[in-house]
Amino acid sequence: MRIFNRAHFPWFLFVVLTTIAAGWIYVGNFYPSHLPPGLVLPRALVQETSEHRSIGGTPVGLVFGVVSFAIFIFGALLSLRKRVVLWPIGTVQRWLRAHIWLTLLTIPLVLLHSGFRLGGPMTTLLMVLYTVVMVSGLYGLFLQHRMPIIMKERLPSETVYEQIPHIRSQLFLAAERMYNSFKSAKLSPASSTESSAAIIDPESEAALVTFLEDQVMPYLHARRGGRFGLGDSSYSEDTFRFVKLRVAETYRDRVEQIQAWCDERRMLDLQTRLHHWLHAWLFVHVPFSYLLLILTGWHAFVTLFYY
Amino acid sequence: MITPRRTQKQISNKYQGNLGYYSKTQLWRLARFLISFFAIAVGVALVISYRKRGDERFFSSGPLSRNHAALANNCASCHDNSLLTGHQLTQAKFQKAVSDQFHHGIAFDAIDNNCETCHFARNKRTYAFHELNVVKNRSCSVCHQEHQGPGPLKWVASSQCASCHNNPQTMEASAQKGMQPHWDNWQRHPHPAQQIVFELPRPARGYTETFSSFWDGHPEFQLKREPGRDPDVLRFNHTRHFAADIPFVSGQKLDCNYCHKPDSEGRYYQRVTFAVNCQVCHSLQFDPKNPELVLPHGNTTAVRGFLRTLPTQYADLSVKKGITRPNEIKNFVTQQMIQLRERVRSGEEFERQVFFVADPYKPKGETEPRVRALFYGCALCHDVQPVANAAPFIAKPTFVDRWMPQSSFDHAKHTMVKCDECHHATRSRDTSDVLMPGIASCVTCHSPKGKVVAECITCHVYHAPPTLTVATKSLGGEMLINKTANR
Repeated sequence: MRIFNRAHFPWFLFVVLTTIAAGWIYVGNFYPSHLPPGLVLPRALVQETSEHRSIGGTPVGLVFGVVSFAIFIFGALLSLRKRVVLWPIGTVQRWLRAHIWLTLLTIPLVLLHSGFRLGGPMTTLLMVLYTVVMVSGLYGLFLQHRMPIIMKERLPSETVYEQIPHIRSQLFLAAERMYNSFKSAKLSPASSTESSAAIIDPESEAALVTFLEDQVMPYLHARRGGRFGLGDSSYSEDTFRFVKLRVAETYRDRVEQIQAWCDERRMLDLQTRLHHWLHAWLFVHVPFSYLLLILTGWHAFVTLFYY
Repeated sequence: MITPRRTQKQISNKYQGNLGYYSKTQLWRLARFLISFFAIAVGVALVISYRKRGDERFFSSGPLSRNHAALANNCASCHDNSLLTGHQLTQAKFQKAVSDQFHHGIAFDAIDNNCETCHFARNKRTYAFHELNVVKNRSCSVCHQEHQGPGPLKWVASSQCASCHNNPQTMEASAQKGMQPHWDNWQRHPHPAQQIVFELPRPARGYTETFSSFWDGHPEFQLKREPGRDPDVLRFNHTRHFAADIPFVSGQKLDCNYCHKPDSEGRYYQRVTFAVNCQVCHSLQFDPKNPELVLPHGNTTAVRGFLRTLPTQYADLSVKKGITRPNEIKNFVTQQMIQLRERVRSGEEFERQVFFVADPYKPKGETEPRVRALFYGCALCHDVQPVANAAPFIAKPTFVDRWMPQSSFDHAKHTMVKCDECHHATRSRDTSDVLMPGIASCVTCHSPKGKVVAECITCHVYHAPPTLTVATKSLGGEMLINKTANR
């Protein structure tokens, strides 16, 4: 999801204003002398007691903590929202925008809740988990922002990711069919001679069979095409140019067809790679988010009832 | 690269045969689900295993100070875990705990109770928290912040004091509350029984001026604000003792340190005594011819008895001088008495001069040699009152040991400062001068500008003393505590 567009501006404004307000309340409550005279906190926003040992334990600190925890829960609900697409509770796009900006808002809130201290082992663990979740999320956000540009440049026709194995096998089957056609023609030269004596060029066919057998079919059949020569576009270009020179004119359209399969395969590989980049961070972000959610709940429970 | 331009028909043809892909299990998603599930399971397992046999210190917000290091393995010695253990967390308790904390923050009552219980068991004392007029006592844990590291317990921050003392509403409420109790009910800082403490009466509104820090708005010391008089009845002139004509003592010029000696800790100074500090110059030699013969000090009856038995005193002196024969002793005594009678007409006159004349032997003109260690008469230093048919009465001097009992001071930490910079003794001519510095002297160094620490607890103690020290005497409004004990 790209975040530099008009739909995100209200969220950006909301986060900035809320951060300023939270900072003002924080300074006004805990360091009132740092505020200039014109910005003194109204009485209603000053917490009832100034007694505090850790800022997180004060009413204001608790509010920061609870709001952050609520945002964590909301953030975790995004995956549920994605599963149940037809729920009439806002589009997934809106949820994602809220997910991004509200979780960004937790950065100041968590810092203010903690009073800029790591605290003991439990809170340090929570901060580490939070950092992992936020860094992975920001990385994912960067990828979501950057990937569409890369895909537009390098991936003109996108395929549904889940269809890639199917299409890959289709490409291989097509190559295999062509290969079989050449092989069968070779095994029954009489019939082929009868049908199209002027077109058939055994040398060209032999060259194509060899090419298909040695390079194209292994490449199209492989799970990962990157380690094959044809997986490299410039190598592929050169190879096909060379193959075209080796076959008769009548076989060149076949060569171009094979080249189209290889190009498509290469695009599928690229798309797979980009897809992995685009989604691999979720293997860190999602599980750590759940872990953070559970441990934050535990932290809240223990600190509220064990004091 | 060839750019494939495919029609929708071509694309749909490609997907043909695999249109039910969304219902199939996707490895990528399955892996993510399994890892997420694993993370949740780990989280839940952590919580459960911790509750069964976890180390409580995991939740500690930091190491305990060395003062409480012995409690490091027993969180329950301070913290109340009753809501977490057993089945005591009812819905009502849950709601109350949450509501309280969102209104007042995390409560420290349970911890404070444990502090008091433990400290009572160890020190056999309870902590009277603050003065009677305190609007709301601070929690132990708020000022004495724990879990800040393994060093000594963190100093009480001045901001804790300022949270009330810089709050006009709180101070006003405190002033109102403080007008009710009688002065004698106020607890004061305890002092050793033999110590004389000068304490001015409590101001009508108490000590409720608002200020933000010692260097910014702290009221002038009460002793300077409401100038008191030194209650001492001794006649003493500091300036005179710094004069150029004062002879050297033990080869040194007389200075502050000759009379004012620090106590064993160096915090304060020992009391000046006649025998140790004055007698070397002001010996009670009444007869210049016999400097060995000195009047007793400290008891007028003894002096009177001494004067009325002068022949015997001279006889004793003659023996000390090695005269053994009775005739020689008698001659010596007679000779001394004749010499004495040349100066005074009668024994009564001599007694009057000794007690009531400030300077009976003052040299007459420059021709007469000045005799050092000459007795000037009791009245030089003392206020001597005649008593019919008895020895005169001399009021015992009152040497105040502590002038500012609301604060503590350490002279040892101020040795780099000259005495006179703060006390201005060289300018004091009268005994009644109180030679205590004002706040300006202190702020010179104890401020951000002076770069010397100026926390509230540098001078003050928050806790009121555990027992009441009764004021025993009133002199012109001020109180001298424990004066009777010194008598």
